[in-house]
Parts: sequence; C-alpha cells; structure tokens
Amino acid sequence: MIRFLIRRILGGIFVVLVVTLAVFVLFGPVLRWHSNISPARLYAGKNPSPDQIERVSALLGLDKPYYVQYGYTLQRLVLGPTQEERERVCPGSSAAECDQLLGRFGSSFAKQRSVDSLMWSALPVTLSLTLVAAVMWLLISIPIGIIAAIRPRSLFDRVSIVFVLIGQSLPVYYFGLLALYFLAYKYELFPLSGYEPLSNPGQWLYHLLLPASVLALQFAAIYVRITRSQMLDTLSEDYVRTARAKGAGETRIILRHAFRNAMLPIVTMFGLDLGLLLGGAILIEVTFGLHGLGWLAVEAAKRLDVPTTAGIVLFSAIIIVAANIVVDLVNASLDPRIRLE
Amino acid sequence: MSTVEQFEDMKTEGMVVARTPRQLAFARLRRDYVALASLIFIVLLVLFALAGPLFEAWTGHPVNRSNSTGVDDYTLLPVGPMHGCVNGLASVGERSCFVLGASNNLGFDMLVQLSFGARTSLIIGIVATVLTMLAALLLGVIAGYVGGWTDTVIARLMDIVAAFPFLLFAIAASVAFGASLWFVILIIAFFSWFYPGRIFRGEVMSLRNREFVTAARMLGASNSRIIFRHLMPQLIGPLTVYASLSVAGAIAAEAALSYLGFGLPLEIPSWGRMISDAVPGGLYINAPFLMVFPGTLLVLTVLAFNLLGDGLRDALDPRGGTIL
Repeated sequence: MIRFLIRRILGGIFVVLVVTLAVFVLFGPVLRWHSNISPARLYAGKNPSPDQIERVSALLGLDKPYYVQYGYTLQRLVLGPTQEERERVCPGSSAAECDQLLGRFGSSFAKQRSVDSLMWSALPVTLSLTLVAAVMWLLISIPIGIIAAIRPRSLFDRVSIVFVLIGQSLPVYYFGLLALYFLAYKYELFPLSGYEPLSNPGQWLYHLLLPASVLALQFAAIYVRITRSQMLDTLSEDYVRTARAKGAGETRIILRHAFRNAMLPIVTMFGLDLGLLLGGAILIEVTFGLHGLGWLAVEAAKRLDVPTTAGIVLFSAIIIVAANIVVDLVNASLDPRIRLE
Repeated sequence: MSTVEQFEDMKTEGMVVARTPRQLAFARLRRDYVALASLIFIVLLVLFALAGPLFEAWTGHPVNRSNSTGVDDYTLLPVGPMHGCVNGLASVGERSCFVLGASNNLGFDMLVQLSFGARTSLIIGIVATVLTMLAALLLGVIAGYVGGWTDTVIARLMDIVAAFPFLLFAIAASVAFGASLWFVILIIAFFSWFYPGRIFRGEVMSLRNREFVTAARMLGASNSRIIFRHLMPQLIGPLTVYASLSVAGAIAAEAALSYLGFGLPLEIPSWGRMISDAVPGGLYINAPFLMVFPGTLLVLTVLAFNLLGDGLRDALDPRGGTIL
C-alpha cells in the first residue's frame, strides 16, 4: 500500500513537472519568438525606452538564460521566493508587505500583487461554486440513474436518456445565458451576476444557486448515464440473485448489494471532476460574473498577464494530480481487490 | 419461440438470407430514426454552410461587413428578423432588409454569419477529428501491438495529456501562439487523441493474442500485414463511433474557446463568438435572438453528431438486436 502510494505520488510530481515545463516553454520562448511579445516590454508600461526594458528585464530575472529561469521558477514554487529576489522586487518593504507582492507563483504584471494573493482571493468563489454544484448534481443524478436502471426501457428511463443527451450537448454558457434571461431578467428570481462571501450565508447561496444549478445539470447528465449503466451491470450479478433468493428486501438489494458495488466508477469520476472544476469552472464563472479562478485566468490572459495565467494553469494541474491520487486511495479503501494487488 | 423454431419458421417462408456484419449494421441504422434524423440534419447543415456565398449574393450583405442599416438608429440595437424588409421576402437584396436580423452591434447579417460560422464549425470539427483519429490510431495501435516499455511510455503520455486542464491550457497556449485556424484545430486534436487512443490500445491488446492473429503470423504474415489486414478492419467500428463523437466535441470546444474570446482570429466567423457578442452590456436581454440563433444551431449540431455516434455504436454492436 505504501509503495503504491509512493509510486503514485512520484508519478504525480512527474506530471506536474511536465506541465510546468509546457507552461514555461509557452510563456518563455514561444511567446518571445513566435508571437514576438516580450514580457519585460509588457511589464514596462506604455512606450518604454530600451533602457527601461532592460531594467525591467533584470528586475524580473528575464535576462538570464531560459534553463536558469526555469530552474528558479521550480525552486520558487517549492521553496518560495529567495531573499535575493525579495530585495530586488520589493526593496525596503517588510516581509508581510513583500508577501503581498511576490509569492511562490511570482507577481502579476497587471496588478501590483502577487499571483498567490490574487489566487487566494479567487479560490473561495470557485470552491463555493464547485461544492454547491457537486452536492446538487449528486442529489439529482444518482436517484435518477438508479430508478432508470431498475426499470430499463420504461418511460422514466427514456426521459432520463433524453435528459442525458441534452445535458451533454448543451453548451453550459449558452444554457447559462438562457437561464439568466428567463430566471434572472424576466422573472427576477435570481441576481444577474456577482458573488457574496460566505459570511452572509443566505446571500451566498442566493447568488450561487443559479450558476451552480446550470453547472450541476451539465454534470448530472453524465452521472445519470454512468450510474444507470453501472447499476444495470451490478443488478445482473450473481450476488444480487443470491441476495434475492435469500429473501432480502428490494430496497436493501438495490442500495446495499447493487449500488455499493456500482459506486466505484462514480467515486472515481467524482474525484476527477472535482479536481478539474477546482482549477476554475471557466465558462460558468465568466458567464455569471463570478470572480473565481477561471474568470481570473481569462481576464489575465486577455491582459497578457502571463504570470497569473501560468500560475492558475499550474495550480489547476496540481489540483488535478492531487485529485487523481486521492481517488486512487479512496478506490483502494473501497475495494479490497485494489488494496491487495 | 426457440431459435431453432425461429429458424425453421424462416426456412418455410424462404426468408433465410446471409448478411455480412456491415449489412446488418446498415440495416440497424436504417431503423434508427433518431440517427437518421441526425444524419439528415448534418447533410442540411453542410448544404447550409456551402450556400454561404449564395446568401451573400441574395441578401446583398457580404460576410464580416458592417452595415449601418443593421443597427436601429433609435435604440442602437442590432435589428431583429425581417426588420427593414418592407415587402417581405421580395425586398431581400435591398441593403436595409435583414432576413434573420443583424448578428451584432456592427450590423453584420445574421444569416450570412450563421452560414459561414457553420463552415468554420464543420471544418474545425472534421479536420480536428481526422488528426485526432490518426494520432489515436497510430499511438493506440503501436502501444497495444508492441507492448512492453513502448506501451508504458505511450500509456503514460496518455495519462499526462488527460491530466492537462484543456480549456485553461488552450487559453494560455492561444496567448502564446496567437489566434489562427490551425492553432485551434491543433490544440483541439492535441487534447482529444488520448481518449480514442486508449480505446484502440485496449482493442488491439485484446485482439493481438487471438487465434486468427496467431494463425496469420504462423503463415508468415509480416507485422504490417497483420496490423493493416487483420487488426485495422476490426477497429473500423469504434473508429466511426468515436469519429462522430469527436466531431461533436471539437465543434463544442471551438465554440467554447471563441465564446471566451480566444483561438480564432476575428475575421473567421464563429457561432461561439456570435453568442459572446450578445453578452457585453447585456445586449441579449433586449435582443435575445442574438444568442438564440447561433446557440440553437450549435446545440443542434453537437446533438446531431452525438446522436449519430450513439446510433452508430448501437448499429455496430454485435450483440445488437437481430434484423429479420
């Protein structure tokens, strides 16, 4: 088990390394030589003189060779910024002030803040949206999937299949705009955009309900499909017939015997989807004006705020890798066959 | 009725016909009205996309051209369907007549933009799918057939691509590479191949130890002959299914990128961008048709390719129902 865990973590670190390298190549050489955009020039403001560009270049450490820059980016990500960089970027300010300006992910080009602090203030929004949506889609999809599987080819089953197909094909932003038009504008049931912090739980939920439902419906479609097909498989297993033969009640058979065994792929997918969404539910956040990680990434990319976009891509990759490892662990604890392998 | 009795029955009626798996699949597909409707929709969509220049000539509004008559002087909103068509369809061709309205606040013609947007969607969907399937076949078949450390490397590669956050990474890459049609096609293909690739790898792995492959090898068939003559034909089923689903995925991905404002340059019309054009200043609140036209076409197109893929899957399933 320990060896399994160590192997998975090493594999995860490797994936994160590949992502950091890819992001670095994109925002270093590709940006510089393919699109002829120099980050130092961007950072230096409007119409900078060559002298200014050189100074900014030195300030950001962009004058060093690429491999040195990459090595330092990795080092900063793991150990935090060095004393030398702190003195270069924020001379004469206290440690706490400097933390606001420079973090493990560097500092933003567009705002006088560290990428870390920008991400910290966006994270609660993404986290709330994802969690509310996750609760909703599980509550919607699992019962529907189970009922559809108990009565295959019934009217309910057919309706659920149509629901699945539409959910899979409806772009979430278009659905979001339609929901905004009808529910927020026409009938004024929900606010048009914005986010309220959790300190005001009523408003928090009120602002999240519409975006979370739209997100949840999209995911619910996939979960109905997988729950239904898994339940169909387990319901035809020998142990279900045995349980029936021994006189177990139908509810008990469905929940204890069939659903428990159908859960494994659902748990796997749930973990991976959570990981993906925590890196920013981009389309929903942009459509509903929720200033979470996805929205931040899009805004930063539009302003060519390279460090912020890169930081969010990295953060998102780390979360996805971590979610993968957690899913493996949960699977191992749910299924003894994986544990003993 | 047992199978034997059924068989006897058919014999007396003189109805026993031998059918190849392909004929069976076609027969099943012909009975699948949903898949057929999807196919018809796709054919119509292709015609609609091809008719772009005809629409330009008919309406007198070239693509990507702003028309002052397309914006209402008073409300400054894009004009609605049939606005300015004094004599109905007879006045189409006059500058003021917009059959489906204008598509943005520059007064582009909705009908023309939709048609050229369909072109963009279909080109990206098809080219990205061809590239995706080529990469998936190449890497999937090699991994499954060769095995050993080659397989380990390719399988890891698939895991790594699967771990990349697609939309986020595509946005970052589009900043670095700049907007272009090829960029969008390549980035979509790059993030799509791993899924069908895994399927092909699994198929080949289970096929390569079957008797017919051993027999072919024993008769002296080379690896390339085994792969192309014996294994590839078995992959045509999953290939068509995933190709159809992949077209749907690529079209949806392009629209999402364009909605966010990344990927395609402004001179290439796109349904995704048309939807996003309706957002600033809450334009869609006063003129909902701005998002409803491109949005509905997008939904129907993605749905059609998804349904066709599902239909193909059912039709090609050897366990599928018998057709008499």
